[in-house]
Amino acid sequence: MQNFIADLHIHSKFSRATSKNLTSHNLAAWAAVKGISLLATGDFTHPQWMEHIQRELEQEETGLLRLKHNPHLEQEVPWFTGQLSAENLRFILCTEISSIYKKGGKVRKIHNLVFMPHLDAAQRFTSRLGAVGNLHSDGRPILGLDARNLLEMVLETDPQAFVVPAHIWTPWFSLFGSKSGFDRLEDCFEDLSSEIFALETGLSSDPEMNWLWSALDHFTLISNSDAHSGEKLGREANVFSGEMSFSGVRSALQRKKCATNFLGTIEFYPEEGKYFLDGHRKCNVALEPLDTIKVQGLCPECGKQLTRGVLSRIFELSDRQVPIQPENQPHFSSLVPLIEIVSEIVGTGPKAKKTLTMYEQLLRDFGPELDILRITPVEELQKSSKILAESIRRMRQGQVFRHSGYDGEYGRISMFTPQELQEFKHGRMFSFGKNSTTDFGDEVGLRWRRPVTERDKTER
Amino acid sequence: MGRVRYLLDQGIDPQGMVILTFTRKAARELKERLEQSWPQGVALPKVDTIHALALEYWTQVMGEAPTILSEESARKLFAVANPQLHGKALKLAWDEQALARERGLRIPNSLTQNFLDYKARFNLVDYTDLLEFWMEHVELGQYVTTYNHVLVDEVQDLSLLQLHLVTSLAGKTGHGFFAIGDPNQAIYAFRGAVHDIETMLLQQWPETKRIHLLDNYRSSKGILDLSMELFSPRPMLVAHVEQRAVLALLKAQNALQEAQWIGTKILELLGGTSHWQADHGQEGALSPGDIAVLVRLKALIPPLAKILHEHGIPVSVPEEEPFFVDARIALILRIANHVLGLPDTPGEDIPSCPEHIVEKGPLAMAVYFSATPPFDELFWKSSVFSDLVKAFQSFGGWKGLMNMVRLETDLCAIRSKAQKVQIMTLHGAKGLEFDTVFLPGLEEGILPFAGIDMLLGKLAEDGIPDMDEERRLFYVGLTRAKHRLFMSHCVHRKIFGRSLKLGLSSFVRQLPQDVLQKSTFKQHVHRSERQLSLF
Repeated sequence: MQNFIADLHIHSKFSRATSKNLTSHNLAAWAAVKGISLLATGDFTHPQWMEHIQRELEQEETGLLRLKHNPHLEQEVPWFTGQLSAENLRFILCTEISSIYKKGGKVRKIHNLVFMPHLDAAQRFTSRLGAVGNLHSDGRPILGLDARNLLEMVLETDPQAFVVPAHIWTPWFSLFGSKSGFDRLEDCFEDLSSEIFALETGLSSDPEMNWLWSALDHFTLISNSDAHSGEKLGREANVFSGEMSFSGVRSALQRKKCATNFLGTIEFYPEEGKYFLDGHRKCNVALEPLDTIKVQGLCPECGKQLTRGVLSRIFELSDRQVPIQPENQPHFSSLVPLIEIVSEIVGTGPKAKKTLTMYEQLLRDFGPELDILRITPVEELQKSSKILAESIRRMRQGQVFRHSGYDGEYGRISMFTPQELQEFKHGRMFSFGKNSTTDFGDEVGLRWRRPVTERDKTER
Repeated sequence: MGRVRYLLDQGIDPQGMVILTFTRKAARELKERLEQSWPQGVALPKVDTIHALALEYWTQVMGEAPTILSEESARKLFAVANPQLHGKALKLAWDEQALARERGLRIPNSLTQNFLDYKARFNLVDYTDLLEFWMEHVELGQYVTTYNHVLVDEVQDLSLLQLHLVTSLAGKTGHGFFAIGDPNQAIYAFRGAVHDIETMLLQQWPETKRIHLLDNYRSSKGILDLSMELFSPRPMLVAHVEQRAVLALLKAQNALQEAQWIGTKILELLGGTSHWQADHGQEGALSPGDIAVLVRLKALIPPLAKILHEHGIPVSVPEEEPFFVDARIALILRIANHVLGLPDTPGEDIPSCPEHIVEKGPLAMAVYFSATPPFDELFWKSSVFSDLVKAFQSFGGWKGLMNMVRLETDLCAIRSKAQKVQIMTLHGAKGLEFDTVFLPGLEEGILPFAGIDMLLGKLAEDGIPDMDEERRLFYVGLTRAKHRLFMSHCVHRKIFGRSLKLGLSSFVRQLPQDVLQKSTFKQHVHRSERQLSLF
């Protein structure tokens, strides 16, 4: 069975703060660079984007859409000299809705993804939603509509249509967000809660974090890029196998036996997020949730309230001390974008010409980025660059340095220590592979993933 | 609320209570609040507007609901009944007789008589008729009150007719009558509200107990202190909300700047509507429904709404009712439904109309029914009917039209569920409260309003506005806010097609200036959006 990668949450150029060249051709070009076969249209409630979709895409019987003409994608990514094809790319109708409303005496701000099984349904939904608020000024419309009522409208539009709560742990704009979310899914969707079968973990969390809470065990956890520009496509994504169709994807997410299977997600390291741990930026203090409890939420340096992070919020709601992978929940793999890996090795910024040159060379030698990161054998990669191969090997095995973000300070993932890089620069090859003595350490932000007994050991 | 609770605790049967509010919105809100704290299994007391109760009474006596004229249709009918009147004279005559009727004169002059004859011919009533009808029955002893406790909200805005009616509901002795009002919030004199209602009540029932409510539980101290400065002698209200108030005054160069400032502030208060705003803005913890923008004139609403829309803020503006809500249009739709056997046919008896006529559409029905009650010649010329004709054509017949009506009705329901920033007139905001209130357009001539003629640069013919009432209106606006008050005015403003340079409102100048955070706009502020981050 053929595997395919799906990125189900992206935006068009009609959303705020997005790249102005986000057209269907640009998206298709980047999808080819990354190795994505199923892409969300994004923003289908926006009148101009819908016009664009209807002009450039055609409906297929699978409920998905494809590009009408086979365009020259090369001009979309001028730095790339290889071939790009959109032959196998399909689009799924999807839009994100931002709901801001008051419920239970609290202000709620929740983002939801809405999926529609064909153009006709999407248009019917848009015309109804148009009565609720303004769809013209933003590809991701902001409405005062209760998320439950939004779900009801979606279900009334078409029996195949569905809703997935977006990036559920983002503090400001999500279902469980600490600032304006809910403590239980049922408080949000009430009588319609059973219509929700998948949740988007978002960049700020990975499945392991969600496995701390048994209430989430029966949801399929998906991951998407939420890209606002082409190069961010697929930074998180989903792996399916089998038939590529709307009903297939839907059933797979419902974990029904069907022609399509959900195999798991491709994840970002959540530690990179700038609100991963609790902490205080001014005092340089970062703590794991259990340690925060010990200091009663106060900064050990200045005594003021610590800024609470995403992990802490999960611990607040969860009922397990250690993540437990539920049965039927597939594995996931944590990746670092190839451009960042290259940037670390080359020692220049991710946008520097030197970095881009190597990135481009790798794509031409080994194919799409997600293949390089996930599949290409390390031995193959060694032919091109030893250090790159080592970097990717470490990443695949999770042997990375995680400098967790906190209180607005971005986290960082690196594959090498500064000394290692220094040695490499001077031509000395350090011990690669299993013999590596590199200690991946007892870093703050990592302990919670380990079993309690082991955790106790390190603390003593 | 407190009084209802007290009565209930005293063992008074809620069936004998009636609570009268000034607007339907206020009635709805009060009902919701009562429901939240009401003991299970006990019936709620009646909560409604006096007009709604009058309608109920009419329906009960006559056996069927009357066809009620909207204010617009009532005016038109009045014009048709008195064809000799035109233009300004017509408007004045209408206002005059409407006012007289509210003051209790049933048929103040022959013009009203003509109007009345016309209504009688077509079996139509206006809102005042409902009250008059009820009042008449009270006077003739045909209606005997069933209420032991009559509670009236916003009593300061009752007209004489309404006052008579509510006091007679309470019976001769006035026992159990409880009215609450704020004379500083009297803003309906132009509709015949009684000037000094307290004295009148005391004259009627000398034993009436007066209770001065000096405690305010809505507004922060800062807002209340500020508002009281408008009056002399200064009222002595005591604020019980300690939270610090935000009091701001902006001077903008033009209305666009003013609107953009409001938009930016609202985004801050909502905590931004996208990630980058949330990260960079300050703590925002309001929902759109906590915020209102209140203006003196309807004409100020559309430009404001447009800019807020562009900011991606969910806003609601007062909407005109769609044509199919009109009672007689609804009747036509029912006839068509019935005759054509379309779904949704109610079993009531409705005027019959041959199928071939219905099939031809509303215009053919107009010819057929002509002046058969409840229809009249005027109705066929009304804007609602011409809307129906247009919709019939554009939706390709009855079926399409009915589908559209069903869809629209459904959409209205969805629309009412959504929470939005409300832009409305000061009059419309009566009895409501919001965490944050914006008061734009505080310019001399707009508030206090100097009359349309003045703003158009013409000789004022439409009467000199009542400065005291305008002042109270401003007071109502200020006291709608619980915590934050953002006032603003413009150096230049385009209104009614004219560009005006009006100074800052004298009412604002009268406020203590040192407590206001002032800011002035000189140039356009350009905002650039940043790539967002998701953590």
